[in-house]
Amino acid sequence: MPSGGPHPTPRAGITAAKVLTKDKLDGKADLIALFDGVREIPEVIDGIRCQCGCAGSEGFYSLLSCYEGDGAMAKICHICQGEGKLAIRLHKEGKSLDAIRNAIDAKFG
Amino acid sequence: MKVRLLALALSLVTATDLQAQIRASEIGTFSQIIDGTKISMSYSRPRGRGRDPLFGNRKAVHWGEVWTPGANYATTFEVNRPVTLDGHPVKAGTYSVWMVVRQSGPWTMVLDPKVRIYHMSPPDSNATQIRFPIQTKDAPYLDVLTWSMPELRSNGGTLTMQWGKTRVDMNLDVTPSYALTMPQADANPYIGVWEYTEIDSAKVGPAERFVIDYENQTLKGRWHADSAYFKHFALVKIAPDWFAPGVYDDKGQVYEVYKPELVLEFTRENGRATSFLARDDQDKIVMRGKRIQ
Repeated sequence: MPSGGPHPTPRAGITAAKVLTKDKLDGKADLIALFDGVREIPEVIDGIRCQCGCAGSEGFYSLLSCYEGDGAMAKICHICQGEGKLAIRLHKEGKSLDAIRNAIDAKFG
Repeated sequence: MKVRLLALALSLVTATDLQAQIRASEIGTFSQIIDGTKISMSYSRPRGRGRDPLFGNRKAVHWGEVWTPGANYATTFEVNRPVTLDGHPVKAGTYSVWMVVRQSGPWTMVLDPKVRIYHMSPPDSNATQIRFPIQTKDAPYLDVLTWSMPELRSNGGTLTMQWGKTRVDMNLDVTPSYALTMPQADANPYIGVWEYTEIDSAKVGPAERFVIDYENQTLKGRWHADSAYFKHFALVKIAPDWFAPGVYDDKGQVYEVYKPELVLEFTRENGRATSFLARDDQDKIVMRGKRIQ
C-alpha cells in the first residue's frame, strides 16, 4: 500500500477533459509532452494515488487530479511529474495498472 | 446597523480573548519523521519557576508519583507505524505518557492507550499499558520541560525528556521500509563487473567500470570513479530487479537511500542480469550499463 492510503479505483467513464492543454502550460515542451501523455491514458492515471502529499487535498481523487485545472499541481511538482512519466512509460511497455502502481510505490512511496 | 456592527465587534473581541491565555505550562508539540514513520508528541511545557529541585519536591513532582512528563492534560505520544521504545513494541496509535518517579533505582515509563486524561487522575496499572524501566541521568539545567530527538539514525533515534537537571533517554527504533540484506542466491544474478556510461542530455560520457559484490549479506556497488560520496554503497532492492543506492555513514549505517533520484533497473537474460538503465526522478535515463564479467 502506498504511504498515506490505498490507490483509488479508476472512475467509470473517466476522461481527460480537465487535463490542461498546451495553451495553459507556458510553452514548456517537457510539460506539454507530459500532459499530452497523461491525456491519452486517463483510465490508468486515475487509478494511481499520488505520493507527493497532495492526496489529502480537497477535491483530489487520483494522480489525474494533479493534471487538472488551472491549479494543476503537476505544473510545478516534480513528484507528480515523475509519477506521470513513469506511468506513461510503463503503460507503453504493456504493464498492467497493478504493476504500474507497484512501480510508483517502489520509487516514490 | 450600528447595533449589529457593535455586536459583531464585541463577539470578535470575546473570541480573541478566549483564544489568548497566558499559561504556566504553554502547550507545545514535537514531531519527527524517520523512514516514513511519524513520531509526534503534544504536551504542556512546565517551567521551573525557581523550584529546585523539581523532582522530590512537593511543589513540583514528588517521589512515587505517577507523573505525566508535561502538565495539565497528559502528554501524548503518537506513531503512525509500529516502533519499539527501548526494545518494547509500541503499535501505531496515540498514547498518554506517564512516568513513575522514584528517588532511587529506575523510573517506570508508562504508555496508556487512553488519552485526554488530566494529570491529577493518572491511570492505574493495567494490561493495556506498555511499561518498562527507564534510567535517569544528570544533565545541565533546562528550565522548560522538553521532549526531543537529539540523535537520529536511518532506523531510529534517541527520544529524550529533560526537565531541570534530569534527563531520560530512550532508544526508539522504527520499522525499516527496506531490507538491506538478501540471501546470497538472490544477490548472485547481479554480482560481477559492469561497464556503464553516464548520459547528460544528449551527451554520452566515457565508459566506466562498476563493480557489484556481496558483503555482510548485502548487495553492494562501487562506481569505478570510487566516488568519495557513494563509496561502497548498498544496492537496496525496492522492486523486482530495481535497486536504489544506499549510502553509508562512517559508522557503517545507511543514512540515505537515493530514490526516486537514482534507480537502477536491471534486465535479465536466462536469469542473470546482463544490462541496466539508471533513471532519475523524472524517469530520464542517466546511465546505461552492461555486464562485462
